[in-house]
Amino acid sequence: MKKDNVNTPQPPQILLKFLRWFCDPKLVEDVEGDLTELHQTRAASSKRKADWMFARDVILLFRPGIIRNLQFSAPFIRVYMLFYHFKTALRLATRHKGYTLMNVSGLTVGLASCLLILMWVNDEISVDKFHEKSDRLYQVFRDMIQASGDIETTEAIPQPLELELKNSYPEVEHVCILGWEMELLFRSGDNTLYEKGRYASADFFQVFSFPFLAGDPATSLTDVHSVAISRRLAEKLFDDAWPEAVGKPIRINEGQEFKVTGVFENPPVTSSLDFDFILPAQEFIQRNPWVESWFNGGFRMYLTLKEDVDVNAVKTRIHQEVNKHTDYAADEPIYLQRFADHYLYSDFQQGVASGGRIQYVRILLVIAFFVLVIACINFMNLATARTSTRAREIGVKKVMGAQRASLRIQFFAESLLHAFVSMVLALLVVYLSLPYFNALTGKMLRFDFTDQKLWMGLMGITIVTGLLSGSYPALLLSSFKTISSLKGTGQQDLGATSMRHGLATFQFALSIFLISGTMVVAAQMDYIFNKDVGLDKRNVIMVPLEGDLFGKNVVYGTALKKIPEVKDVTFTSGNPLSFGSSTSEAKWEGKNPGDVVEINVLSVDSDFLQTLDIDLVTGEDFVDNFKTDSTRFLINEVLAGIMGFTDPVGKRLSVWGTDGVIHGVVRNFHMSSLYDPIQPLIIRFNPRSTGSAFIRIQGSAQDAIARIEAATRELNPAFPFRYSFLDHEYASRYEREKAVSSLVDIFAIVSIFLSCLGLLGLSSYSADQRSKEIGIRKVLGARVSGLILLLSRSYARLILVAFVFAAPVSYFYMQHWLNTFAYRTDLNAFYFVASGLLTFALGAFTVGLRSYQAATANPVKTLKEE
Amino acid sequence: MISKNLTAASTRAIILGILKQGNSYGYLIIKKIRELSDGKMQYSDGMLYPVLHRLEKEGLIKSFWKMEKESKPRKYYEITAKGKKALAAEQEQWDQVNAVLQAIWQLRSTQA
Repeated sequence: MKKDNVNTPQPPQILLKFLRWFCDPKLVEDVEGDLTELHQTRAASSKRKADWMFARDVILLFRPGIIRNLQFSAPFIRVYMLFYHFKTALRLATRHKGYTLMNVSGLTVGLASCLLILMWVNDEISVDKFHEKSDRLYQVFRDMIQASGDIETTEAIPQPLELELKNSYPEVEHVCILGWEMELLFRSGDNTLYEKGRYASADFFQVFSFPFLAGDPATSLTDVHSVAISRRLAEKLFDDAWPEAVGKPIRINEGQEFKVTGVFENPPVTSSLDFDFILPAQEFIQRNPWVESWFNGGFRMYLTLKEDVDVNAVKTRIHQEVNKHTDYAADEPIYLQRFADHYLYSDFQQGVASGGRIQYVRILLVIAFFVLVIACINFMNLATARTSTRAREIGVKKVMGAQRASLRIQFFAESLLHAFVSMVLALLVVYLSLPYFNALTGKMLRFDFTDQKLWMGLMGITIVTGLLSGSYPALLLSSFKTISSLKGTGQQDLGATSMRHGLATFQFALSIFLISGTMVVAAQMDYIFNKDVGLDKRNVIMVPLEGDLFGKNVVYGTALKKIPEVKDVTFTSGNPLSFGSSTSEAKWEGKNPGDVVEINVLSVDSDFLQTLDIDLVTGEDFVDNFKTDSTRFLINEVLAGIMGFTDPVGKRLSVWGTDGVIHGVVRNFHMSSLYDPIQPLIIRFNPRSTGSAFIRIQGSAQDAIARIEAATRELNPAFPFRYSFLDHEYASRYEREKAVSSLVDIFAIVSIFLSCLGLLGLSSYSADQRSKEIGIRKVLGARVSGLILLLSRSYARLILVAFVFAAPVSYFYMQHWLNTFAYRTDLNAFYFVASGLLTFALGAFTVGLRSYQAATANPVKTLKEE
Repeated sequence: MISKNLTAASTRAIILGILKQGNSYGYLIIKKIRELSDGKMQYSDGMLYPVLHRLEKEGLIKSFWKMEKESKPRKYYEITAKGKKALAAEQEQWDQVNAVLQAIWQLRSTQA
């Protein structure tokens, strides 16, 4: 619409642009129109004069009322001010290097700790979430309601339920069974290796998402003599030719040959199921028809529901499925748990998923939060302690018209700058320490810098840390009154000082809490590792009976006993850590027929009690004669208690169709985790059912192992020699506790380090502030010890108050944690007093050191500065 | 020369009055006032524009673009019905002021 006439004289463009830039947009059209018209009128006589007059008019219009509203340039000013705040923060940081170093190092350590913990937590919570049908993938559990009313939850599910679910449950999309982990010998040509894997039914790869690299997941387990192997096993067996592995034969345990029907990608680190092969469950079922009974639980069971199916309806329907098929012989309701939840919630109490690893996740999250809070408090305390040095700056800024909001932004800018720099350093620290952290926790954590979520997370943590650290200084410092700020005095009012002391006390309370917690965790671990488990687990080697060893107990035992380093030998059906079989069908004199008691059954050969050094409480041991011993049973004290006899020896007992008598009662020994109470046990003499040799050695363990290996290889040349130490097996039960315990140790140390760093900052500041007072006191004859006391006293009081608050909370919390163990160390005051004293000692050392420096400074130097 | 204060006080009535005579724009209004006052009433630079804007905001006048021959389009102002009412009110007030002043001048001359 706008059209310039080329003949009409135009005003200078630069002046027009200037006018358009400064003039209020609401007025510019009027002003420009009028000035241009005036210019045209004037130009009729003289263009030059008109231009000058135009310039004069434009300049005269550059005045309030015409200039655009300041509001419109506010964003520009804000950006500039932010830039200015960061510049000031940078200048201050470089001017006060010691203070900056203390702040940045504290925040770096805090952030690095927090990041490591969050990476660990993120890894924990992502376990088993990668399956495509994760949201509708469930595991089946069986609650076994005991005569005592206790509920034992088991993963072992009767195999016929699989068929029932397939046929009668249209809501179920796929269902599969999965066997226990086993280690088998694989041979392809001359290549032999032991690998871990499981039995599973045909739908396994439909239920779980382990992508296939070769073969068809839907049909890979249909043939009884087929095997699906992982990529890493395929590479080990076939080297570079692994992509053509399908169709190739593999001999397993030097027996049956199996054909490779599929190669699947290695299970990811976030999978709780780790295996290198899957064999068709049918192969096992054909050889073990007992698993086809509704009364026996032989496998784990998993299912996926169809989309949009109401899981609660399925849960209700499936609840009595086993009871219906066993004619309510026992009360064993069925329960479904989402598979993705099982890793974190694997402990069941009275049939309810009560916890598990989630407890460690929570503990470490709390620690991460504590450590970061401690680091932020350091920042707050140091910033507020330095108020008097900043007071004049604030006063001058206020006089110059700075608003409170602007001052607040300045302090937030400072804290955000510190947080940002610390985050960059923390990332470096985490990057460098990850290999060690992974070794400690047994994880494979790494940074995926292409992950947007990671960057957003880092950004989020940086901003939260910056805002948290800057919050109190920003509120406090910006609230100073202008006059007193300019005087540079009177800033240390009671509120600020008590707040600072309060924060320091809170820090120490957290440290005392963490230290006492760490001590209790360590004591409990020590208790577990060194507890008398009821048998002598030291110097016992376990060797699995496989290949030609199987069924040759007498020959093998005799060969072993010839070795001078071998003291005793026995054979059992499992190791004392996993019996492998149990029954609820055992009957004894006087037992109420309706009672259900799940009892572990251990089959042993001769010298069992002697080899493992298990005490006999009453009765007699086996006499090592199958004819006599096959109808004799030994029971443990727990079962004796359940039976309720004053003297159970001689009482009749029937197990798995064998009627016999109780021949003796052995002292309780631990079989599973110390989290659980000791279970009832029947020991029966049945050498044919044994699968492991237990060898007690003496003298040099190295020589013993070498000789045992030679004897074993002679009898079983085809299989590589495998062994393990019983005490290591016990220890491996508590690996996760050990890893978490180490993490707690490390971060407790970090927290005390950070608290001391904060205290060092505060005491340094206090010493600086009081340097003249100290000088005058010294001139007047004060002693160094007196001055140290003067400077340290208030901090000692803080630690004392922190102790009073932290000790009871810690006591309560640790007692709660210990209660999750069936067998636990006693909680006594020592841990709390020791943690209090340790914190006090470290705090006193930190403050004392700085106070000593201050007290020994030459008063001439401190007093002459004016 | 009429004082700045008095000029400023009468701007509203003058602008509305001029626009009642016909649509106009800033420079023309200034020219018209100068003519009517024989150059005794002068608007300082930029004084008129904020007033025009305010009057438009109050709904007393409204603007529109008008293309004149051989020049750029100009923003013209037109008085609204509300503006006419406001002008009547202004007129009445100024008449009253004028009446009072007249009476006072009369008084002074009688005494003198």
